[in-house]
Amino acid sequence: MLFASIILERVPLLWHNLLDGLNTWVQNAGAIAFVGIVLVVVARRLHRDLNEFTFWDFGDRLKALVPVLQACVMIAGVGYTAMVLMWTGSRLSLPWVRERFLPREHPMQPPTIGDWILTASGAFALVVVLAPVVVDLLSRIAFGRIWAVALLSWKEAIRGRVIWVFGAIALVFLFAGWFITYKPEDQLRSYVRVVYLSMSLLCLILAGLLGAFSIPNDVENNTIHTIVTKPVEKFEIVLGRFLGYGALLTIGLLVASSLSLVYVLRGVNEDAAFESDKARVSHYGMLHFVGTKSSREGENVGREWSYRSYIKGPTKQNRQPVRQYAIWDFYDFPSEVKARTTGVVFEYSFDIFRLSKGQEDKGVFCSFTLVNPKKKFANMDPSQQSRELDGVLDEMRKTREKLKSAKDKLLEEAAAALATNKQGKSKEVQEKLDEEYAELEKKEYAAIEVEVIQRFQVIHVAAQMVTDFHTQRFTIPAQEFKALTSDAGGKGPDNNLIPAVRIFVSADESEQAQMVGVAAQDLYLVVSEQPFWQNYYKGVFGLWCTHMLVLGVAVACSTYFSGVISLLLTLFYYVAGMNRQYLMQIAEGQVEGGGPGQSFIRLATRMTPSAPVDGTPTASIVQVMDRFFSWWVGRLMNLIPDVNRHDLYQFVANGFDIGWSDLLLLDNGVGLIAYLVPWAILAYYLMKYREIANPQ
Amino acid sequence: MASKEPVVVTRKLTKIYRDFWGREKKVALRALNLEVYRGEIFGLLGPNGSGKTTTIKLLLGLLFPTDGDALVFNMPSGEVQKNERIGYLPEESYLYRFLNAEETLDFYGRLFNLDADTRRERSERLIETVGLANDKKRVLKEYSKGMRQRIGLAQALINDPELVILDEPTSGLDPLGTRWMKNLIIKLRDEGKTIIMCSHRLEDVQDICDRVAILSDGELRKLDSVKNLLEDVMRLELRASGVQLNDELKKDLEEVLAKHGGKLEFIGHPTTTLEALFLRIIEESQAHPGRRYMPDAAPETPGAAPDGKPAEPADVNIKK
Ligand SMILES: Nc1ncnc2c1ncn2[C@@H]1O[C@H](COP(=O)(O)OP(=O)(O)OP(=O)(O)O)[C@@H](O)[C@H]1O
Ligand SMILES: [Mg+2]
Repeated sequence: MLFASIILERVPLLWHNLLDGLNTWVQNAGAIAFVGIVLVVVARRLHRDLNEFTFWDFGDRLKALVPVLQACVMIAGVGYTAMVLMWTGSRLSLPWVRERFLPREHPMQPPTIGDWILTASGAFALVVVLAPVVVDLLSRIAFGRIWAVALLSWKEAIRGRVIWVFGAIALVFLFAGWFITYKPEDQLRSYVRVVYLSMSLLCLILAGLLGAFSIPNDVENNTIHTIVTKPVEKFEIVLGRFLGYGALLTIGLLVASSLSLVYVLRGVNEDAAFESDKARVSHYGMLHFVGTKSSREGENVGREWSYRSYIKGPTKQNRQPVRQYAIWDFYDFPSEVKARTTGVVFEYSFDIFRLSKGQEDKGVFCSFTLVNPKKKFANMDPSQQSRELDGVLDEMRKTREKLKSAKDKLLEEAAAALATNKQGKSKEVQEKLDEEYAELEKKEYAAIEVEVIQRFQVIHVAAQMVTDFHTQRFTIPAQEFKALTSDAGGKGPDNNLIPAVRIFVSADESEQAQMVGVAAQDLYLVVSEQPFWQNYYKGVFGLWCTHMLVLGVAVACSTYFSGVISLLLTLFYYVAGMNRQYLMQIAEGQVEGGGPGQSFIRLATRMTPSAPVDGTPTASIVQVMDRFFSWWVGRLMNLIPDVNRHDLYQFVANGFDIGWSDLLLLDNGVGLIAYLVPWAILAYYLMKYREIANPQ
Repeated sequence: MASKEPVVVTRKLTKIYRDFWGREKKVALRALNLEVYRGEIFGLLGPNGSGKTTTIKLLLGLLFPTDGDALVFNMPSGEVQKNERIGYLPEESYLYRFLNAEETLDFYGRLFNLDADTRRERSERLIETVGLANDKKRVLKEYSKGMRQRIGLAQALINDPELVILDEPTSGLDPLGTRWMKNLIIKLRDEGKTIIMCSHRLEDVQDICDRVAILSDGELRKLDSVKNLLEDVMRLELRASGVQLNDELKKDLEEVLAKHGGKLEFIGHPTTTLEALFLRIIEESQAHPGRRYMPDAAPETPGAAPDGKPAEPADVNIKK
């Protein structure tokens, strides 16, 4: 039977990556903030009407802060200048600069000194930009006024009857689901799809419209004049609008999702219930590699933004000196798994990448070797372990054979006894005796396996077929798993944590060269199954995040642009966000082709695109500029929201539990906040320094 | 009555409207120097497009000055805190049309962080004051122009402001409503509030304003107390009857006046209203553009400003 599959084409943020994520965030947001500061400084020189604009307008209260902020700008400037110099240096063939000072090129690599400089500069720039916002938030922003504006937005939307129209359309949408045809096992899946799709579509349009038009309408009708001449901080209007519509959308979404949950669950057939009416809880390990260039990543197959990395399988013609392994370390297991009496289930879904054409849809065989690395290995180093592994497997096989032949004698005796016993008995009794014998045989062989595992602390699951993007599973009998983990984990001699179970995954030998793409989330242990409805609401939280994202972007745009333009911009960001992966690939391709500068040189000198532009000082400088450009493209890409992050419908539809802490709280919740905060800062400045009575 | 404590001070206040690319569209206000004192009713007078509304918006921080400053309660006009003590009635009533009168006042009360009891008590009283008690449950989009003007005024008074800024308060009101509005403004002044208003209706200004500034094409043309403006000591008014107005008479009069060192400015039929003065000033400004009225003492030392001292002839100095 085919299992439900879950394809996560990106690395979700994980708690142990939080610091790394924060680092990247500071680099990105800080760089953009710094550009903002520079632009303002330049614009103030050119444009006298911008006199009002200052990052240190604290009146008399916080005069002491001003020199501090000015110093921050200076420091950030020095940092960024240093980075530009280093880029230049690396191009002028100073390789030591490149190694140590250039920022890393892939998030899996360890940060370099250059990364830290970028982070520090970004942090200083952020401090400058954030200081006025924080001071305002702490000293002036009053919740009462935000609440007043929120209430107003609420009344406006309801009395404008927008909501009712949308409600009516939503109902039509939902019941359209009734007429959709599906295979029996897909029933729940397609219901969930219809419901999520209609809820997200409608609410997105609503969020976009409400957000994009609220403030521009106020400006258009001049109603904003009566508000900003009250002691209202302009940012309070932004927050009030956001929170008011946000609350409205939240309630709308809750009502709609609860109604549709009833609709979804009103009569689920058995097949569909088995597939989807549940939420598998999975337990993840940490992924690393041996045999590849770096332990943090596998081979690169040219899919630059792909979050999977690859291990190569050996072919008959071409044996690698070292075999490549993907290794998952599980440091602990939930107690319910340890107490399990049935099998322990692992599920996996890998990507297959073939180096030669043909045979596209044939599977690849992989082997999984579960190891308790605590006792049986001379060394904790995984690459050494992987080399020892071959020998161990050999020895295991021999031991198993030996034990088996010993058991076989015993079984032979039992079989002989059985034969005599069976004579002259009725047919039923004979069958029963046969069954007993079979039972005995099974038990004895199982006992052999347990003994082997106890002795070698290894479980070998060989030759598992892997098909592209299908979730597949193997089951370890409970005694075997217990035998492996009875004495596992803890701390090693060097006080490092030892994984309780380490799983070596490798591709088996085959005719053709092929690679198996893996990511940390691709192999996991199925811990338990949770109720469907809970997961359904977790999925709704993802929808909610998308709505808040759209609303936030729309409101932020509307602090400067007209309603129509804000709506278009929001739409653009959303659509770009859905195709983020693709856009990143394009951006990356662009950079690999040499960036705009090199392309220009090639054009000008009529060189073929493949010919390297090298040698001349001009070319070097152009390359530096391209490098700079590519870095900037990378930063700017972060303005595009990762909307797929909030698309949790796959989990719900396929019956996978959405983890509270990782996926929901961190990846969705924190991810949303991390994206919206820069927009909020932008909205703060756009609104504050907008000449209300003089719309452009 | 003006106690000479300046509530509003502008120094060289200038506003140039520009388009997105920074190109100049219109010089709406040019180096305006003004002072408004506590407890007076100050009128801004000027033809359409002379910069009255622009001045008010600059005072309120709705516009940013291109040059110069506007100080309200000694705070820069961009400062939000000053709004605690200001009430503003916009040119047109810019209110939310889907709210009713009560909700409107409640909303603006919340923006001042007033507690619920104060909001209720004040909005009841104000609705009574502006005469909308019977219509307080109706939404504003059903209101007539005059009714909207009334609720707009109520909204401006919700915080019991020290300074009330009214942009054409009588527009859209019937004669009775106009009278009521004027009485209300005088009552507000008597309560110690400072009022800045601009208007086209000269009779309104004449009736209630203590001092007026006359703007034309973004420049200050005249600034004085209404009383002074209307009795101009440097000029002589001669009233005669029984003669026909002709060139010979005019020449004779000019001769007589020249003998006494004077000059005939005007001969014609008498007008003693503000309207006449207003028209004359505007005509004059069109004949001599760029000639700006400067109060003598620089407003940096507000106490020393001679404005409002009726006996000083130097006050009136349209330079010939
Ligand atoms: N946003 C703007 N952009 C460009 N020009 C403007 C803008 N607002 C006002 N102006 C111009 O500035 C000048 C002064 O306008 P303002 O509204 O201050 O006049 P006003 O004295 O209030 O006139 P009215 O008596 O008609 O209300 C006018 O010429 C007007 O066209
Ligand atoms: Mg006006």
